[in-house]
Amino acid sequence: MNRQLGTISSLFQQITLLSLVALGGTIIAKLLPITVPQSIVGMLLLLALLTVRIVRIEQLQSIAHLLLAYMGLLFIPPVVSIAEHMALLDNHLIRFVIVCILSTMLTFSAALFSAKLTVLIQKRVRRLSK
Amino acid sequence: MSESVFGIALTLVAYMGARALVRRFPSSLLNPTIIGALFCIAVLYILGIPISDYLLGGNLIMMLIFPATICLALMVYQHREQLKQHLLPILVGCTVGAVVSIFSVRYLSELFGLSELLTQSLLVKSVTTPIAIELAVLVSGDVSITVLAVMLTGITSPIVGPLLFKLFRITDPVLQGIAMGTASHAIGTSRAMEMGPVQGALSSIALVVTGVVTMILIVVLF
Repeated sequence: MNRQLGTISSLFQQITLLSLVALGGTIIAKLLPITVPQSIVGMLLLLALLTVRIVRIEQLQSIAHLLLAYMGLLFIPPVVSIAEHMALLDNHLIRFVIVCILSTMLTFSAALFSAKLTVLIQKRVRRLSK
Repeated sequence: MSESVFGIALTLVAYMGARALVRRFPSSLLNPTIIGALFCIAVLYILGIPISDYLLGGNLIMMLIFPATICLALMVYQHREQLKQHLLPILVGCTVGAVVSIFSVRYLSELFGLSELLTQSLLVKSVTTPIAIELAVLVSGDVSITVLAVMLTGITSPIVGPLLFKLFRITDPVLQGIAMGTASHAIGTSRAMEMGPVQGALSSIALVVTGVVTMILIVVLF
């Protein structure tokens, strides 16, 4: 019983900490002169806090694991809303799918070969500097 | 408040059912989010419930996207050693990938005669869904269509990727991970994790880096 309560209060602390990080990210995003998504600022803030060890990974692990492992749940509502937006796709659906797949294959190859080229150049530079 | 309970319960039941189904029949083509959403649409249609009623609860679930995005930081932090070791190839791969994604959508959309709204909704398709939803608003795309594009993008690399690796004779797990994470975000990453721990780690890092790079590109370009 006690152990169970301990787990719950720890989860409660984790939610509190995550809320504070979210609040911090929101405030920083509002202070920036450009419009940037608050959640990404919050993510970078958390990464910074972890890196300088103000926040330890154990202090957030359970809640983060829960949110990341079941993240697919959160996108069901926007996909359901598509039923209302079907008119926008209309008879463009096939072309929409083709553009999406072709662009993804190009993105995939571009990332692959630019990274490969970088690795090759790095190897050569290392060999020359030896 | 009581009106929102229906949407919450339906979404949870649909997702749990879809996950059980996918666990039973594992395949890159089966996506729990898409299957769950189709189930919800079917239930709403059969019961004659308007989507706006469903969204009273659905919107509450979507509120969790904000904290979930923040938690993506852990995916990078957990693999920080790999990030340090392969910093340059990751940065170059993700940046080139993000640029090619945005511009290829622009040119291909023009080539295939897609409307302005569809093009704008496709622009941020290579980044993970929570980031894509935020960026879709910035480029005045339609959030629902963006989510659909992100899902479609996600299932492309797990299917096409291994074939391209074989075709181009890419055996380096670092490069495989970068390509999967950059082009197909979280869905590509779950496939990369199956390929091996290095692929999984690099793909996790790449999905976050690509999201941040795309955000910078969108803020600068639009």
